[in-house]
Amino acid sequence: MRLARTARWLRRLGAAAGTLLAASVLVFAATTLAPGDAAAARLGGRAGPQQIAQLRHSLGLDQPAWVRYGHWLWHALHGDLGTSYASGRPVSALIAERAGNSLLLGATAAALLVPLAIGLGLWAGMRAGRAADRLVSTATLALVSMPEFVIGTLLVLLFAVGLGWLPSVSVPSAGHSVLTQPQILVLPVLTLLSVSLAQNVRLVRAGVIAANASDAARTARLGGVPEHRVVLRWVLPAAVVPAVPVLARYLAYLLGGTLVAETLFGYPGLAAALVDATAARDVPVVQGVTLLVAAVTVTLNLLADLLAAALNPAARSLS
Amino acid sequence: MLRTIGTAAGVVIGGGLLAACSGATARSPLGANTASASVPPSRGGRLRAAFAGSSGESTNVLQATGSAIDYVRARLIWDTIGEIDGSSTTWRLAESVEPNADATRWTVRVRDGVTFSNGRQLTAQDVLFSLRALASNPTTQSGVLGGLDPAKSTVRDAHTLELQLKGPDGFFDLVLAQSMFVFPDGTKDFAHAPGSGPFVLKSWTGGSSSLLVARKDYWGSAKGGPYLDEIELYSVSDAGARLNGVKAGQFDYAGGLTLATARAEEKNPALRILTAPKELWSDLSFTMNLGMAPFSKPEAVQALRLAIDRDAMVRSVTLGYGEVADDALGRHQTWYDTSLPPRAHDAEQARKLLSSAGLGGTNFSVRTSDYEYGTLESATAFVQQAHAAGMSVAVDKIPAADYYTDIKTLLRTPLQTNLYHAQPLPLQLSLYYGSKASYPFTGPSNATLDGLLTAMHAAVGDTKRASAVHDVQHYLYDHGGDAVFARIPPIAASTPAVHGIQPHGVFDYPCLRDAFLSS
Repeated sequence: MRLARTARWLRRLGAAAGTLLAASVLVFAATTLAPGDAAAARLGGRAGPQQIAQLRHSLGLDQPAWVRYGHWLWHALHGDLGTSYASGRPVSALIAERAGNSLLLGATAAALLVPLAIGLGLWAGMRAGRAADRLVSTATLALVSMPEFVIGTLLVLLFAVGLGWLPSVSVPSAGHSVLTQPQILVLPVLTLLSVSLAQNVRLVRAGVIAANASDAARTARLGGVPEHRVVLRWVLPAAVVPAVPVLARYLAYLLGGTLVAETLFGYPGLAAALVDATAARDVPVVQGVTLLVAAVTVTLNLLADLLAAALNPAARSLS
Repeated sequence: MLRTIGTAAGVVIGGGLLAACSGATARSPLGANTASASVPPSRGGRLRAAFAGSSGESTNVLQATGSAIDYVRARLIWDTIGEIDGSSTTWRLAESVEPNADATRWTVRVRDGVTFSNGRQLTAQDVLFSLRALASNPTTQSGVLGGLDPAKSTVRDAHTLELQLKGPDGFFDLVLAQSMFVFPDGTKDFAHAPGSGPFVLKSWTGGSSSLLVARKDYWGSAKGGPYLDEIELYSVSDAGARLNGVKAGQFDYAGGLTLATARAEEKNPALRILTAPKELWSDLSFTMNLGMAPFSKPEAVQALRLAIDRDAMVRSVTLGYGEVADDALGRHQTWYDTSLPPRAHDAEQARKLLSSAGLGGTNFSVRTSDYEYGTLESATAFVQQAHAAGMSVAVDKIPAADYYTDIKTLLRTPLQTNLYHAQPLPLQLSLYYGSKASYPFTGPSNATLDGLLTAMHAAVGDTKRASAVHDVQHYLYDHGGDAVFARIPPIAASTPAVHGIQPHGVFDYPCLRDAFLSS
């Protein structure tokens, strides 16, 4: 039994590694097939064809694609992600800096998302149909139906341009980091929370309503179990388990760089780096960033499955 | 072309329309309150300015033209041989630049008393080393330095440089005013080359921000800046976010804004909407490849030119802020031939020309993209206009990032939009036309055009040079493949306290050397 379970998780790990390798091939192929290359992106329009050819040669772009990919993979497996075609700086340094920023933004949003989603969902679900529930439901429905950039723009207009309380652009000043200027995180975090929180509150609320009406909860109440114990023992786990995979996906999204928030606020995160690198045909950076995001996503999904199995004895024994 | 960050340079009238220019008295074409009377410079303070940047930024002086913010920063750290102001050159580290009789050899006198930020004296050897590095590495400057023979160029004495060209070029002075940054002889680490400019880089985070501190020992401070103590540059990709930063009090200046911004904010008293002098406006064109059907027939070219309603383009595409162009680049530069007649809008004549050439009912496709404001808008507006001339035009929209990088397709497209950033006309004409052109969008050249371009480069002295440029312009007006139809102003915004920011050839990546903040 234990052995079978270990084998199953090893298979999952193998599949995860295969997914990462496949992702790197796909991303490399896509960036290579796109028109133009890093040399043309950097010099196109001004320098002549000879200079572009010279840069192409010095970047090694005149080698066949499979040689370039093999070269990249060999070094990546040894922990070297190469240097950026655009800036000439090590990819790992850029990723470390940007991933740190994205992690900070994502983790802050996530740290608020999980308790708020569960708390608000539980609160509203336990009061299904009453005024408090209707308020939460209406508010989340409104937020869900509004695109992130609309919410972000409204927040900027209100809190930055209008009231002047917060910076509208979330770029750290020279010599500062996001940690020493935490105020730049407020608006991006609020923007990220608005959509992901609304989705998850609705999910948890629906689970709570179903679990609350379940036979188990009813029996427990009839048996005289105190209400708070009913909620903790029967309602909450049953409501949260189906929400875990969705929450995990949101966490992956929050941690993997959040394009809209980064564009809107100019926040120097991973997603912005990926967009810049794609436009610049900066293959090493594109490869490095996508690999990291893919790894985070795969890991979080694995963890979510583990957690779901731990929380749900049925899934554990049946599968 | 296009986004041309490069060494690009246009021309600026003294004082200019920039509010910030001291002594500016001209009224802005935008009707904004941009022209304050000359404000005496005040010293001290920190200017916070936002420009477009990316995670691919670099402090490497050989990559200084890679993004707007890299360029603005480089202009503060490294002084150049010279700049363009009002169609002519203003020498900075050069004292004088003179050609020999046939313009095959140029003598550069290097300014005395200039030091690098590490205290070392700047000599002719440093200037030669810098030119060689810019010419032999894949830099944007190398595109215009192709005529220089770096090996045969020599240093005559500590302050004199002899530049040998591969052939005659009477316009090499304009080349030397194209962002030829000067760094010390023997520099190996180009990302940390000591500066010759008014500011030194104190801290830098690529894609975020940087802090520059004024040099106390800058050679030019007797006659101008630096007035500020510090400049902080912010890298913000989104134009809307840059504008919001100024409106929220986070920045003092934001470059690279949209025309729509000008319209929305021109009455905002807390904001000053800035534009460039007209020589630095960009030219919008429908570029026809004369080597490809149907534009291999001159009637098709003429018909397309006549089918454009240029006044309507100025109203709709430039939101009324721009002006009409008449199938020639570079209006308002002193090189521009003002005798070129306006191009009429004559849909009926266009229709007749097409049917006379057997091209009635031909389907046209215009390749375009929204990489900058104006191109996609023009193509879309043209569909209706062309319809009136019996032409059926389809818009072929390409993703912005693919448009730039796909140079092969750019040179093999029958019809496409182009946004030509301002550059001194003689350099611009050589870049886009003739068999030596790097970007011959209008297709292969011919002996007549090549002869005119060769004559243009052989011309020495201002009268001969101007008339040789006019000859090329006349030829292109009659037989070229560009239908240049409108001119579009670049936009920036600042708080009313900002003064002294000047384009010195490039409005979108301006020179902050003489900037100051009024209290």
